[in-house]
Amino acid sequence: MDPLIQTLVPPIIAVMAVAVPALVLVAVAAFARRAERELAAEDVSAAAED
Amino acid sequence: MALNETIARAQDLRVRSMVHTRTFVVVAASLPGLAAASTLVNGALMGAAVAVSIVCAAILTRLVPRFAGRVAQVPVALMLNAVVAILLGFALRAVEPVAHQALGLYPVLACASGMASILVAEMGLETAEGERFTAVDIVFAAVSAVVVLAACGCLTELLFTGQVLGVAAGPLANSSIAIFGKSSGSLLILALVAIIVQATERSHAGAEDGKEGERA
Amino acid sequence: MSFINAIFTAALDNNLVFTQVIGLLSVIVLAGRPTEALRYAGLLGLATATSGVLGSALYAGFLAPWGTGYFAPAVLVVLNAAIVCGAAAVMARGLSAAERLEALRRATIPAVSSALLGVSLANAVAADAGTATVEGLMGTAIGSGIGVFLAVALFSLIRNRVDDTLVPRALRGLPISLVTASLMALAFSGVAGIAGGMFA
Repeated sequence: MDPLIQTLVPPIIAVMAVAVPALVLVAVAAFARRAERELAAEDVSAAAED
Repeated sequence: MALNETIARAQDLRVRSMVHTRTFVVVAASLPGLAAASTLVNGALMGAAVAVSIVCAAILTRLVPRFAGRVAQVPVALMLNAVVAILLGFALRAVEPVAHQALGLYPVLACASGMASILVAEMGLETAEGERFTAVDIVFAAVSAVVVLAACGCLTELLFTGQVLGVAAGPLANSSIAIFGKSSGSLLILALVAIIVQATERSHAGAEDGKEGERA
Repeated sequence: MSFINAIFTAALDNNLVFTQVIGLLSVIVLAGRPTEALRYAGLLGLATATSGVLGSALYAGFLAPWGTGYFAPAVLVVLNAAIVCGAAAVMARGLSAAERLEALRRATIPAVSSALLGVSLANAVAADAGTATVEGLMGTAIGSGIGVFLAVALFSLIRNRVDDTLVPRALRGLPISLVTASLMALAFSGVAGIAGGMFA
């Protein structure tokens, strides 16, 4: 096999193997932040009604 | 439903009161490596590996928020902690290859579990600001990992094989107690350690309450 | 038959939580919420099985052939957290903002449980040794998930039935939880060799 491929592919695979699940975690964190913003907005509107 | 919320809040309080004690710190530091602590040497090595991993995890989880945004903190901290666990596994293999062979996957698992406890305590969404581990708690966890795992390994070896470090223990050498060859025995020994730590913690808390009462 | 044998062996003979003492800490903490025991047990069990299947496939298909097997724990830890947090986010999709946050908060402890890491690393070692078949690895992953489900559900239910007022003061709290875990480990060791041997 081409030595360049043998050198480059393992680190690319390692990075991809970490990056894909990390992206899922980033999406979950964004989901959590959206929920926090909605909760803060609900609190503000409830306080305004009071 | 209001009743469910009340029950959920009561359960949350119960979990919090269990988790934020020195007894829990000792158990959390020792439990991951317990299965592999079958002899004094194995217990001491596992304890040392878990102690280093706990200290590294505490440092990493404090450093990561400085260069990672709030969104990326947890995956970055998880990955860095796991890299440290891999390096500790390599270090153990370099220092004690025979013990590393005997311990198998447990060093990496125990390090990862110890680090996970720190990560949840520092970055977990369940933790309030004032409930994070202090430096004293981290050092206490690290020291207790070594001491408790070495003690558990020593007692397990003594009660199951009747000898420690090749030195036979008289009558025990002739009648081994089979339960200590399995995980049940190790958990009983850890329960005994937890009783001692909890009793010390309670008497200390009782003495402090007494002093505050006198001052008042 | 080897698939079913692997499931029963992993679930009962080599139970991850009580025989191998992996992930027991998260089980003890999760037992503090007995009303949600089955939900947590299901989440952790499914996550363990999924992590075992995906982790083994990732290791055997990508990491090991290209010589990056040593990096497996780092990859698997992030993968496991992604599986649990992703599943919690998907399950909480239609709920109110407060309930969504609560679901993600509660998913933190299962997400970093070492039970998920244990099953995928054990499968990786078996794949390296060359002794494992695909159905054996998949059976071990699914069996480990079933074993973790049993462990969390049974421990939560049994621990909830232990009346702390009748327990001596010195044993209340964590010590009695550890004694309970020890007795359950003894019970699981009682079926060792029987369950797996039935389908050999």
